[in-house]
Amino acid sequence: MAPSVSAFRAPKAGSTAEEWEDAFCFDPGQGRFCVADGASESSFSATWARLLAEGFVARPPDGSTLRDWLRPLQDEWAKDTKGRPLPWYAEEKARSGAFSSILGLCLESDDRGWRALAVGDSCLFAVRENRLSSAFPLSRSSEFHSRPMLLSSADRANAGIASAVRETEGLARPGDLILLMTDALAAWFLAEAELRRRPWALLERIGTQEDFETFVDWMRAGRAMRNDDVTLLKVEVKP
Amino acid sequence: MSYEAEVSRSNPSAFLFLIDTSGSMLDSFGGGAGRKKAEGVADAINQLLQNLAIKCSKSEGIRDYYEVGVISYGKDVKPAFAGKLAGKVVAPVSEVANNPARLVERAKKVEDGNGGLVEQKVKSPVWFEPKASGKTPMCEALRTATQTMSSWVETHPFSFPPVVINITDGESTDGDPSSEAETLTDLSTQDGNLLLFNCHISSSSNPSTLFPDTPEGLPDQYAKTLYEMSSRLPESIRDAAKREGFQVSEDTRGFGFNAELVELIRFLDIGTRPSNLR
Repeated sequence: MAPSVSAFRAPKAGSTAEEWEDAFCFDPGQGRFCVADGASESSFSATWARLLAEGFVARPPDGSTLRDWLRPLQDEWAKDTKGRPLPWYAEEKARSGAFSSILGLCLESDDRGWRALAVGDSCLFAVRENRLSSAFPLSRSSEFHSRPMLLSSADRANAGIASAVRETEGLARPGDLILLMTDALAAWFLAEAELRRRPWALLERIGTQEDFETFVDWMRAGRAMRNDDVTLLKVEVKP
Repeated sequence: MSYEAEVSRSNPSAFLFLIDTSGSMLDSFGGGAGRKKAEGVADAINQLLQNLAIKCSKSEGIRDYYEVGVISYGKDVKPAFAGKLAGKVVAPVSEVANNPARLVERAKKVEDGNGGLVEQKVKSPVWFEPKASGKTPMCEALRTATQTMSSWVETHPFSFPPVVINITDGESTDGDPSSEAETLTDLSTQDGNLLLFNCHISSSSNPSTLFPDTPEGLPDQYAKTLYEMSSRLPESIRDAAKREGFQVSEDTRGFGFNAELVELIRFLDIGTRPSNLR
């Protein structure tokens, strides 16, 4: 049976829903799921994040050939930004390229195993029988401080990407919960887990977009979560 | 707690640059036959405005995280924007970005990602043209800054406090600027007092000092006065200075003495990194 999936999103406080620069895409039938986090310093990063997420679900890449896999997506992104006249600052921004993280998950067709690929600080957490069984690619809340290497829409900025790709795999069992999320939520999640709390229990209870927004507002108000765009995909492995 | 306000479109911050355009700015940096100080300062300010605009630029346009102003003081004290912005003391960064006096096209070499370089044509905006004549009416410049910023803080009570950066190569010719500086830095938002940073730029080849935490070693009373006028760096800017390799303490001041052009650019870059953009 195909896994069930639900997706939630919230823009930064102070920004509108249209200004949310993360992206997600999934195809439960094929067992493919992806989140991407467009860097807010770059322009046109929402488009870039969307192209990456859709690209992953259409044709999941291999870590070793990632730079080639990116080329058609980069062409697509360039079409979107080069077609119109831009003021000098937007030209400058477009020239430096857009940047985004990527985190993709593929469940095997028999739902017995999964593999994941990541560049950047969007994270996957696998929960089995109320325990955290996998944290990928980061596993400590302190790891979120540095500037992560991200995928760029400008090929020249991806020269060092081979060393930044992370790949992993795991076993899947019916009842497993696999969470994909962008960095602000992931940092909170790991900090909670380090305190031996069970952050997944809170996320499991979120059923609607409204629940998610309330949860995010509450976390931000208590300064438990950094003010950033937030995205969550919940994937439940079915018997 | 102070200096913690997030900089957002609903709570923008402000930068005001005071630029000495007195006659001595025609001299060269370091006292040699190199670049004229007036030209170097104009380039540094244009570069800084360009960086600020790019930082605030998003897919849909410029986000008004900042308001920006430039006041020159020399023959007279006046707003220094040229072109459509002429006469405005302070303008939102979107208006500044969209109205440079002119755009200069130049070639820039960038890495191609395969170990080589490619040349790209880029457009550089110019807002501020070099000029130099007259004396150094620093007191009047500080008074003008106080006038401008007192209404600004009133209308932005929750914002990260404005940062005023004074760039000069000489001694004030209209009196001791200390008390004018004090009046200016008495202005505040609920997040803290206005920050005044001073950068003295060099005509001599004496060693320079950037972000000191003591007036010891400064050569004369005039440099000490500028030091005393300068605000202590709030934590966020101290962190920025530390990341750039400066030794900082809680007493570190936003002050530079005898700075060369490269140092002035670093000073401006660090001084304008007050907080996180939301």
